[in-house]
Amino acid sequence: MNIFRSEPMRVRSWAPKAASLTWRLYDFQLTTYAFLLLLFGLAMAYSNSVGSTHTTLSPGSPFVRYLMWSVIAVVVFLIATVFDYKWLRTFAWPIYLLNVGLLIVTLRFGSSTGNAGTSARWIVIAGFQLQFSELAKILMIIVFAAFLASREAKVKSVWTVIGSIIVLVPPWILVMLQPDLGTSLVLVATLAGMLFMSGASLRWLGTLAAAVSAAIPFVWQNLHAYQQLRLLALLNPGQDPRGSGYQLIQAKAAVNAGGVWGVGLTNGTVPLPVQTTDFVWGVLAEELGFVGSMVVLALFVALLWRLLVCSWRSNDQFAMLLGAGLASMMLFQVSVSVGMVLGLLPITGIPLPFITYGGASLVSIMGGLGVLQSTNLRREPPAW
Amino acid sequence: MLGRTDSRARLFSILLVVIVVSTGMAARLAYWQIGQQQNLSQIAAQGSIQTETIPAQRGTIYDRTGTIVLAQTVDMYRVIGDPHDLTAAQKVSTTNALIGYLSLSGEDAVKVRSAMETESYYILLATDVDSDTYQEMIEDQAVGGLAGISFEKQPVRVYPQAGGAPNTSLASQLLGFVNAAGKGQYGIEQEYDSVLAGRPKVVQIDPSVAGPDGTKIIDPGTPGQDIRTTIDAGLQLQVEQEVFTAWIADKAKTVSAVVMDPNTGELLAEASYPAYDANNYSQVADQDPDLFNDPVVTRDYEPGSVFKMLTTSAALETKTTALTTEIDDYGVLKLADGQEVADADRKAKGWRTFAYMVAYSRNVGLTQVAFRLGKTTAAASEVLYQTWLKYGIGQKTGIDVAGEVPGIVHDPAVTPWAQIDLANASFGQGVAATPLQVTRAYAAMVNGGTLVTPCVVLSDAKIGQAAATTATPTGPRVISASLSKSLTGLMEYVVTAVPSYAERTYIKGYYVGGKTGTAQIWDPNLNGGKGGWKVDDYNYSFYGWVGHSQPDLVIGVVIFEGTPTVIKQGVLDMPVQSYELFRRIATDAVTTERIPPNPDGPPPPGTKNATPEG
Repeated sequence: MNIFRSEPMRVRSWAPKAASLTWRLYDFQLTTYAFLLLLFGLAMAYSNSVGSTHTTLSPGSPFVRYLMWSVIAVVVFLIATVFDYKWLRTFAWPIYLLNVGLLIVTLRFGSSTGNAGTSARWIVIAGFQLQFSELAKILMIIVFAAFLASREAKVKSVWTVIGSIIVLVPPWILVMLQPDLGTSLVLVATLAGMLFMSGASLRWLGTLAAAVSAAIPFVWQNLHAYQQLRLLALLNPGQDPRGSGYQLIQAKAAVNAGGVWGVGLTNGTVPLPVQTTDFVWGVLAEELGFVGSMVVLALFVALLWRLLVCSWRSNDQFAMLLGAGLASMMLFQVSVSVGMVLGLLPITGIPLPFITYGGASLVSIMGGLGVLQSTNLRREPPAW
Repeated sequence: MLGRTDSRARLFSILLVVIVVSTGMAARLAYWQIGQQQNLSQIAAQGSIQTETIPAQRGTIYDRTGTIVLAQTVDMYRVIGDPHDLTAAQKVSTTNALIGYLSLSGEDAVKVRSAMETESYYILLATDVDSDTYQEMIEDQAVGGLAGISFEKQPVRVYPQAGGAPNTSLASQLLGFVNAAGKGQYGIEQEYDSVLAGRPKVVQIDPSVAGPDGTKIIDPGTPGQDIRTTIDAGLQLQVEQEVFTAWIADKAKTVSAVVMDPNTGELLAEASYPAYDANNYSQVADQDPDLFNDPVVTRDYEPGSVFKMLTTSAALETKTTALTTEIDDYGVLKLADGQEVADADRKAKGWRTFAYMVAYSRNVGLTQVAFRLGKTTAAASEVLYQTWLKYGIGQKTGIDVAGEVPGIVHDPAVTPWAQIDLANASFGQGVAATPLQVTRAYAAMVNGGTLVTPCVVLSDAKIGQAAATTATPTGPRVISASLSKSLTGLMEYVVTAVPSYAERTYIKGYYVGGKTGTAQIWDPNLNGGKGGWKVDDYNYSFYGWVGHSQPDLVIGVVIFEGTPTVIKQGVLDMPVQSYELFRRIATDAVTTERIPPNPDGPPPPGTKNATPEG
């Protein structure tokens, strides 16, 4: 079983063909939705900048940093679009090693100023907090896509499921050790979505799901106390109004305060925990109201729709799985990040794509979308 | 390449999940934002952004030289354990190391050991750890030792000077202490709490913003200011020793003394015994919290004969009786309503001068002087009462320590005084004053007639100035300068004319003057609850002055409930009489305050009889 079987080098598809790239295959809708979401992200960063902690915009404020990261993200997006995505499949194995290496570095040298106790999530380079676990999500999509594409012929085999779990485990453990429950859940959800889309046997997937459910009590024991509390708080928010439940009550109050039209950008008053990251949706719902929330939600749905359409149109299994992976990841992150503020899901620190203030997350997602556009441009003309 | 037959279905199912999830969210949003009209923001606690108040370093209290520290805040440390995540081996090594650093043994060591056995995230292991030990432990932690241990800064107020008696700190009752909440209690610590405490630093911590950006300084605060007291630490210690000695010798309940600069009102020393150790205030609070009250400003007592000086002041001012006027001392004076006023020995002395009556403290003589103050009892009462008020009796002196009491005076305009009341008032019964009030009144009598406001904290302008200067007193003029001169001279006459006083107040090279007081003590519990005078215990006081050529210092001493020794029938003595205590303190004071002896000072007792002026 050659997990990372290399494709033969396809030099011809690199530079010479670039001039004749078929721009009509470019998905302008996808790019438009992404950029609109980016603007909302900027708006929320601005709101958090002129809020209570910064009266004036300072160079270190979230807005300025987000603006800077946006520029980097757009550049990465464009490079990824131009770059032939098939090289990624060729280098899937080195990418995997790089990924694991970065996570080990984070664990060894990382630091955190979060309020989740001792955790090592960031590497600070030149004053920037880099959260490699965000990059890991995208890199793992590439790795999974390469692996599952290589399994195309024998996709129904149980080894497809087992093999992908073997690939998942090392980075997953490294993320759990940080500990970052949110990212580890994203990795699992992404893999599940990709396995499903790859055409893996539903029987084996069902067996796996049952096994995971059976393992929950064991996992619960090993969760940190604050993680357990957050899960318990979901069941009964009123129980501990200053602790985990407090966050939920505040979130509900913030969403409620928004009303139909919202209180206006930067006018939010309900204090929320980690309002630039985990609870950004609460700020958004309060300041932009039901209408604004629905617009953003609609943009996410539209973006997911385009991701699935790109997958659909692709005639390369690797490319199709890249789209499926991005769609799974984004669906999960949006569901959890919004759902937890709305009291539908437990509180886990999962960033809301584009809207959450976080450079690594933004750059990773834009890079992933760039890769997807790259697959669009290099699509073989449809057979039909 | 969706060639596989079920791939299209799978794609659709994912699309279905997207639609279901987004519809659910939209529904929830609609329900919360449009459906629920009640404003949930009321239930939202407005407090995710935490405001933290960091107390400023409390100011130091110095003595008047600015070099001797009377009270100081030092940083000590609390040791906190977090044994939850430690392995058994780590727990043992941490515990052993900790016990070593803190030199614990016995029960204390067992406590720490059992605390570290728990699964707690936060458990207090030790308090009051000094900074040296803290440094050692921090250095150990830097090399990987003492796992699961953290430290919290714990400001501790210390009173480094030992007092003049065992288990006391210097000027404990004057200074007060700082409680566990950092609040000044009693004395200077309470009165100047806001000055000493400074303004705390207030920061707002937004947990949603990582790093230093999340901390915003709302108020930088100001450090507590240092205070320089008027107290001379050296003299204070001597006075405390004298007071303690007298307390033992006289088997007294309390002994108090105060040394004041009559021209500025500054207290150079003020002490009482029993006192306490402010470093151990919590123990005192458990056992005898009454010790916290400084008798000098909080204990109002019937002053007795020392008030004869006030009656004299009224008589000389109204010119109703001169010091040379002769008065018939009957020994016992029957009043119109059948009540009687008697001298201590109930013996008739015949016609003697007013000055003699004061010197020998003849109650009958002073009663007659008081009666002459006005045409009627009511008029005379009013004159005496107004004289008291002028001298600040019945009012707080305005001294800058907490808890001062005003004393008790009865206004004759409200409740008319009977003859017996006026008679009693003339020798200081039926009125209550604090030692400080009387000291202040005496200061006004000898400083030229100005009622100064006593103080214990040096204003900035006065820093560096020597004590006992001849500064012009500030405050309301209560008597004329010439009357002040007469009263000063009378006090000198008192201590030189009476042989027993003369022998025990003479200080070579210095002029002294003063007046004794021996007051009976009314005990409301005697006679089955009807109340009565205590038989053997008296409050002995002496207020007087000492100086090179004029009064430089005023000193008041009170021996509360001293137990006299019976020398013979009707003659009582004390191991340390109030005027002896006065002399001891005065001798200390002139030395400590460097008041030079006067080569032309008064002769030793027995060589020459002084005559009062006026």
